[in-house]
Amino acid sequence: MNFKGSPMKRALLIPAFLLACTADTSWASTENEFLDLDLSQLMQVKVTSVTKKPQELADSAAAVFVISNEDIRRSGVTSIPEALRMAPGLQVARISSNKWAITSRGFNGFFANKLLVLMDGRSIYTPAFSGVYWDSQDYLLEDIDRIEVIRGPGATMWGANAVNGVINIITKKTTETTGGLISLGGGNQEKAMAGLRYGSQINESMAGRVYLKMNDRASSELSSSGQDGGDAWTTCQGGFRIDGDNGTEKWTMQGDLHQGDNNQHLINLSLIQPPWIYSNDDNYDTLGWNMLGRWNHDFSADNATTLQIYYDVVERQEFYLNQDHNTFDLDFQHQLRLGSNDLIWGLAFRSTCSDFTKTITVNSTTSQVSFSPSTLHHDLYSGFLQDEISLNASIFLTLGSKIEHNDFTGIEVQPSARLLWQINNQQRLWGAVSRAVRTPSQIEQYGTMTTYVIPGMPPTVATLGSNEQYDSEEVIAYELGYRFSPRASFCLDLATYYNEYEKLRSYSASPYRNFTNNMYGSNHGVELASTWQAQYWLSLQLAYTYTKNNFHLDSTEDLSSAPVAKGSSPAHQLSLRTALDLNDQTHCDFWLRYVDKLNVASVNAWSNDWVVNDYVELDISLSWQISQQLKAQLVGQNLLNSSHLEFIQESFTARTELKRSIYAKINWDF
Amino acid sequence: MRKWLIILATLWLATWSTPAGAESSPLDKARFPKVQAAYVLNFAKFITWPPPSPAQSHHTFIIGIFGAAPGETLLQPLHNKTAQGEKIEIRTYTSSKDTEQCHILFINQATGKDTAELLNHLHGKPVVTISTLPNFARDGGTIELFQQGENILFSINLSTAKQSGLSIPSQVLALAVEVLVAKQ
Repeated sequence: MNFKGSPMKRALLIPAFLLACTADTSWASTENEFLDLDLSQLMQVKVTSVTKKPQELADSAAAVFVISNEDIRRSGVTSIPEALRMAPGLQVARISSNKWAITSRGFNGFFANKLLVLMDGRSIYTPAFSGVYWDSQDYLLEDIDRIEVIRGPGATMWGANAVNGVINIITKKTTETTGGLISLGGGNQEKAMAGLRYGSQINESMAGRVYLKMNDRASSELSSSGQDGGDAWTTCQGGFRIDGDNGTEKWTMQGDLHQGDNNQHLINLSLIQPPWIYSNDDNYDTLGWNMLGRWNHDFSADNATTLQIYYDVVERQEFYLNQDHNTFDLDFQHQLRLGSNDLIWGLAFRSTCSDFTKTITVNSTTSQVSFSPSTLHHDLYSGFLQDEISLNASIFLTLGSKIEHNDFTGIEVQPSARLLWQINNQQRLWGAVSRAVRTPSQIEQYGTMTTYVIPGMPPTVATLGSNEQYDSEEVIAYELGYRFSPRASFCLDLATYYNEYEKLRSYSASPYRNFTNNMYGSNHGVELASTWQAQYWLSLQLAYTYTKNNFHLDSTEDLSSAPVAKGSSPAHQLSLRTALDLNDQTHCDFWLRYVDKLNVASVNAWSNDWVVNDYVELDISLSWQISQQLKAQLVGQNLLNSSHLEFIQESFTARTELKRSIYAKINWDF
Repeated sequence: MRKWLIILATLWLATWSTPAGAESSPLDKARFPKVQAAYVLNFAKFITWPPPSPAQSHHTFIIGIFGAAPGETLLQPLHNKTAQGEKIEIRTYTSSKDTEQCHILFINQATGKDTAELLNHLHGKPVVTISTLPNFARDGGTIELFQQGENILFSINLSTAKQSGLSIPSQVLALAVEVLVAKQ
């Protein structure tokens, strides 16, 4: 082991994120994609870029955190949702082997609905409930460039449902993934994983790649008995991407095809005839494909347009519901610099066609979940305008608003004002006030769920039903942030917020309950991210999140919503990552996490008085660069407990605990 | 609500008439240093150095950086790459002392006085000096990188190179925007 090093060497080994913190480097990427270019090619590289403002994140007037490719690689995470645990402000709870509850700034649940998630510009939340089915969101992790996590309302730029945050998963450009990659691994929980990618420069202005990946994962265990959780799953995904660039024109074509063979252990579904209660193992399938095209034209350094079109198909077949969603989306953006104004405006159209069928009819008239009508077609039109104004050399004001028309609530206006003060080279102060809405999802206006059945002749069937009057949930968010980077080796990013909500979702009282908008209140919190390169061979990354919820209900409503809204967030969350370079070839990473207890994780937890205890967990990843081409990695996840509970799903499935996981993996670059 | 909208709209319109204050640099700050590093690597590969002097008898190819952050991170990606058949080693300098051990010295941030002292110190020694400082090549530096429009281009002071015993291939010279040769 070699721990000696000059100050320079220390600087050389500063990891990507750290560079990101300093005022003079980018948050975005670490790799230098230009090193293979010869002089004449270098002379062609454009260093001006205006599109979608790849603004230095250190200089953004919002709470932003970036998970880099290196972070993903070194931590040893094996899925996108697990990588999100690195970001402050996010609450990531794994419900079972194949289900996650992920949210930003409160309101967590399997059906969490106030977070917008985009993959290369394609929205991946489901219109059925505006949340994300994380079990079918995947990519070859080696080819993810970064994940940008923006907490707080991102509604101006990104649209409705970006109420409390936006996650942008951005894959690498194909010019950065030329060559082959084979990755193979396996362990006790990650039973088998395989990845394959081949990329190549097609001609001078065009490069492409194809990839394929497969994961086979073991089940968790039941909280109640310690027996098999019945949630093992296998996923398969493949896709391609082609990028073209001839100077003023850039274009991208990409597509993915994914398939999942999943299991879940269903409990306590209600039947309206004996035996009244149904519990069983359910084998459910997911299937989908998407195709996206993006075209970018630079008229000049200060004037650029982007046009993006995608089509996305998702199918999900579960015991209690089959759903098909087809989405067409068209997005146009124009960016323009005029004097001290940096303008972006855009127009978008989205059309969604959803089809719901019952797989199994629990009886002739009711199923567990149903939609009426069973085929839904919705259009969404939106436009936005945002202007970043340089008030002087160091103060920037950003004003903007999105206006959209949706088929549920008509016109929605979501304005925001942001101010950034570059105090000096080391400090930034920013503040923002924004309004955002969470528009109704299909289930709230067209769905019905059976909640319980009281046996009898005839039986009493309690339902939670749709409400055509159900309105958007609203938030006014006040944010204040501060960044401090006294030197390249240290930075601190602090964000605070106070959100005032109106018309939050509630339920009218039993037994025939409807979705209503009668919950009010506020939440506030503090999020801290800090990176410290203590030695050239040692860096520490800390993320801390504090959340405090305060919600109340109209007295006419069912009592469950407010306790759940309050109790589903941990008061404190802490993540400490330590990256240790034993030498240039051998790296060791420790990741310690603490998550405070959840008093009321969900309505299911509320009715059963179940608490999710606080927990401390540790991941350790060891990696060896055996040769230029070959890398081996040994990873232990959730090492401190043989199993632990992170969340309790709203309904349908049993409480399951995650088991300790150990796997080994080999990556071969060729 | 409406009142506020009107006030905001008025304020917004007012900004159109304000003169462009301090426009932020059009440079994408992420790309600029990356391209600079790639240039340095190219020069390391194509320039020919005279046989090593005792001061340079190392088994590494040494690239030095003069000037503090953010420069210290700039050449990070070059570490452990190879040039002239040897592994690249990156060193930092805060004075001209020992800079003659470098094959390439990248002058990142320096005052005019520092620059003059460095160039004076390295005069006639086989060290390629590279910088983005204005008029660097004219002032006796070997290679000056500069932005023209959207591109980063370079000029070469051939006289400096020759005096130092460095040989720059004609293909490289052909790409230079300007090749400076001192009058005889």
